[in-house]
Amino acid sequence: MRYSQTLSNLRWILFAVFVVALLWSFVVSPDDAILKSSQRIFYIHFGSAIACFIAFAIGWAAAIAYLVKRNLGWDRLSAAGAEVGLVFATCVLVSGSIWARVAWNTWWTWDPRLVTTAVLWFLYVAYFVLRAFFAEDRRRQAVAGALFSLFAFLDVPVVFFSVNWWTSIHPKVITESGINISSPAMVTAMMLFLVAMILLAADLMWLRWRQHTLADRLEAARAELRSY
Amino acid sequence: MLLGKDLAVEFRSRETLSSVLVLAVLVVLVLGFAAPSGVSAEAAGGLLWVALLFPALQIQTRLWASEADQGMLDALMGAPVGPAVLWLSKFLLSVVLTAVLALVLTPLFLVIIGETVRGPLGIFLAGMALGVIGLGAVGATLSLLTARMRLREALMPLMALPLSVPLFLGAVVITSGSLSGTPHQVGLWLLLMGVFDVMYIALPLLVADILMEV
Repeated sequence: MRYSQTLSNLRWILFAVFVVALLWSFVVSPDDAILKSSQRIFYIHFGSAIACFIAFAIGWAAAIAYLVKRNLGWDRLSAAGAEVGLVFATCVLVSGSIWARVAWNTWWTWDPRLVTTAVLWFLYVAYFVLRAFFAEDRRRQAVAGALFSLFAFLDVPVVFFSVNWWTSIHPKVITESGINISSPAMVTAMMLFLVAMILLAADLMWLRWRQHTLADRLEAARAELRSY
Repeated sequence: MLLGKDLAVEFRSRETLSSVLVLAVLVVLVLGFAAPSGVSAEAAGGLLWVALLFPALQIQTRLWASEADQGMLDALMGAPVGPAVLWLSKFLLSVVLTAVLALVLTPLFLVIIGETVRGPLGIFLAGMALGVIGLGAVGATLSLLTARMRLREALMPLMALPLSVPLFLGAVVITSGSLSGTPHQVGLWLLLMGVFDVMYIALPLLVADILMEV
């Protein structure tokens, strides 16, 4: 109990950071020279992208730890990392798409980073479908999930390189040379949002991890009850 | 020996290949109807791989099915060979069946679409071979992961398609390039496909014992 009390106190810090980050990016930070105010979505986009990759990386490392140690705690962490990563990946894709509509005049383009994020998104959707199909057997679910997570995450660098080469053959690729961070206030807004998003991701992961733990304990208690 | 057993079973029943080959021919016919005046060589490479991909997934979904449905997966684990050998034999079966599919489908596709290989035939064949091997490896692994599942047909494409994006890109670039006669950066793409193939053969071999557990 005391543990979660400390955590909800800490959550005020997260809230404060978010307020400061929002104020900074909407009030203090100047308009972009070309993109005007629409550039501000970039702060959310960048923070989400980094938080997404951190969450996925934690999920992947925890999957390997599960395969080695066979402790379901690692699997719960792995699932939490993948879930939070998927949420932030969705934010990245949506905010990036909105930004691209204004900056590049298109919702979607075959840029390596875009395609890699989209492929990553689909891989983790498949990961959750796989886990859902194994729902009745907790141990098998953990093993299958960890294995697929292992294959999927290793695929990401290969996807990135291949799409990079693929688009470099097509000359019509739009590069990101339009972004120009010259103002220090912009960099501050970017960094504030980065911290805010990472803290949010950490908090969400903790919550999901605890939910998974409680669900497993509940299931164990039910099984014990049935055995009487 | 295990490959021999699987090939014998497949040859006698022909249950996988017959239905898949019919599906493949139908896909090619539909593509032919969709483009009555033919398509550009660039697009033809992509179409060929799309036409190959879905029947190939059909093959791979069924790879471990007969064992899993009859509860023989556990019996196989008791066989006096390691799980890596079991995976390897299924991988070879997957490659052989997919290669048969490609050998039937590709000429038919080229005839219907009205294309020929204008570039060097060796590059075209190398691209096809690396693509088939990669699909075989991904398929053998994922179908083992889903073997004991009731709804494996629904899940397989969901996992296999995003996972094989790099392989697919390489295959399409090489095939389109060979068809149009001006393949670009062939070495780079063949290398990428080779790396993909080695990666998805080595990884399952390393974790084969865990794969058999699922």
